[in-house]
Amino acid sequence: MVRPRVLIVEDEIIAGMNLQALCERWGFRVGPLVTSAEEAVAVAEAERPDIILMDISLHGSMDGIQAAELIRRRSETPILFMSGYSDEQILERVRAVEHSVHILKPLDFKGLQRIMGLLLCGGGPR
Amino acid sequence: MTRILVVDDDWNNRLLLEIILKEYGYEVLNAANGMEALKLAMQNPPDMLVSDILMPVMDGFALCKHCKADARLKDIPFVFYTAAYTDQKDEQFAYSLGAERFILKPQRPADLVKALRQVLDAHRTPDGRDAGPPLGEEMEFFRQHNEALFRKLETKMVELEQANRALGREIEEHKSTEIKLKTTNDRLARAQSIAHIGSWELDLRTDALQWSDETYRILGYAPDEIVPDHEIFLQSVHPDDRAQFLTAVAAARKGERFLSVDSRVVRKDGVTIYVHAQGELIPGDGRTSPSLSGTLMDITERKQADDQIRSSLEEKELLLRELSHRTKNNMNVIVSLIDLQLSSVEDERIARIFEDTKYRIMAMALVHEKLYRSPKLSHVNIRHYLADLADSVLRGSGINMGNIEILLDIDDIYMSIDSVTPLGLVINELLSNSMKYAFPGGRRGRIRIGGRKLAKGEIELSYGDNGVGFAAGYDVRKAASLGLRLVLSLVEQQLKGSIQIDTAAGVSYVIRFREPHRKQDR
Repeated sequence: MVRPRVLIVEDEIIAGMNLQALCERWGFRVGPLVTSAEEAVAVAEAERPDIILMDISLHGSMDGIQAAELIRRRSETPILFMSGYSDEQILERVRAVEHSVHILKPLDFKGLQRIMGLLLCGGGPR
Repeated sequence: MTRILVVDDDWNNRLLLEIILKEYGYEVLNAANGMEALKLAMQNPPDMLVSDILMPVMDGFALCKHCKADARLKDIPFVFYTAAYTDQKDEQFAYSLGAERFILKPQRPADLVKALRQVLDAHRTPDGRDAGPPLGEEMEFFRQHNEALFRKLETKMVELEQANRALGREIEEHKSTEIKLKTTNDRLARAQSIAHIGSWELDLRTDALQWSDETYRILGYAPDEIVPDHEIFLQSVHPDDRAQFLTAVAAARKGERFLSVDSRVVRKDGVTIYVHAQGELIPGDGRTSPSLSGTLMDITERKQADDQIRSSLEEKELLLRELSHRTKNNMNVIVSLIDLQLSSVEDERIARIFEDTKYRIMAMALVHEKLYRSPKLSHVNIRHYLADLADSVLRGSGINMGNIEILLDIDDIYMSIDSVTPLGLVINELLSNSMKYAFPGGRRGRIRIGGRKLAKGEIELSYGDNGVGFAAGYDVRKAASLGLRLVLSLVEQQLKGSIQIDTAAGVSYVIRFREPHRKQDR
């Protein structure tokens, strides 16, 4: 069976490195760390990942949700948002992106693994 | 029948005399002045003339002189009936002109008629008195006539003087009323200008509008600069707010008693201000139109202050949101760092230590998350916090969740972040300990967490599991475990509370402490 490909978008390098390590351990194919929304849109287009881990607050003119909206126009790839935001404005925007869930930082890694599994099976909270 | 010519410029007097004389059987002719009377008498000589003195065109003296100088009229008895000329000299003058009688007004009808009859009777006796003008000289007539007129003028002057004085007094009174009114008006205007409240009145029938000086000023005009009208006012209301006014006025027309509208108004100088208009319906009563009478207040400053407070609140909220976000992000970096480190650790005991640290940080982060979501911002409801914490620790423990039942019995207690953070760490340690040691080999079990308020602001938290418990003789206080040492220190030193440990069946802890009072806490 082909190992699923994950795209990790995170501008905090330490957090990103850890996610790469974890995902590799969990059996994913992991590409280079992406740290901006623009890059995320380009890589998602080129690499066609099976799942995307998307930080929301990113350096640059776009945030993770805007990147996700652009990606969503071309693909149905499930997107897992990760952020320290828990206010309604942000959650509202997240809910508007289909096939996505939001998990709060600091990340509970066991929870993250479980949710990634659910999203890949086409299930998940939504 | 005896015909009497009545000469008087006053219509009422003529009528009165006519009625009286007709009643006594005389025929009556009327003239309004000497000239009229003379013409009438020439055409159709009466049997007697009864004349007033003061009359326009030709007065009674002149009439008398003309009559007595006329051959056809000189024998007709001439009677003065007057109120205006009462001087002795007037009477003398009258007689000197050849008048038969000088009677003062008013007289009782019977007396008047009696006097007239005497004159008529005397006249019929040919040997009565010698008819004919007694006055020789024309000059003498003019002199005496002038004198009489002059006397009359003098009296009139006195009367005029009196009338003038009365008028003066009236004007004085009027003036003082006016001054009082003006003082009252000035006071009202001053009050309006101090309070920045103008007043207005709208006639609901004609749409005529009246503004007080302050209303003019509020709307950017000099007092009385324009004639206010409903249309002009509506034009100055911000287009988005016009409907409000129209609705309110329409409601008043339908009988709604009160009007209250907040809206933006563009002043004459183009500056937009906020006004509060308040009015009351004054129903018409047939004579007067129904109207709306009310006040206009410039509330721009208040509105700006409100907006400032709101925007500063929004700013604070934004700051708080950002702070909360960053705190959680930083904790994520720390947790990630530990996790990264963990991946290179072979020794399971050391790995365990890293895991524990990670969950301690997660417990603290949870406080921040709860705090951010709490309606009170500075305080967290521990019922919600401990429920989430227990869930998170249980999930993270790797224990089959179906095996462990967690029972929570916690009141709604709001605690400040200073107390919740150490308390969260304590419960985190106790939960982790239960997960690690209480239920070995897939043993099923139960954890109870209770929380309640005691008297005098004391809070009691109880924690217990029905697991295997400590080995007999195990002294918790001497235990070297970092977790338990953390629990004791946090309770006793940071929370300044007490902890009771009971190891008879499973483990049970009872923690009591008080929320520290801090000045800035509300």
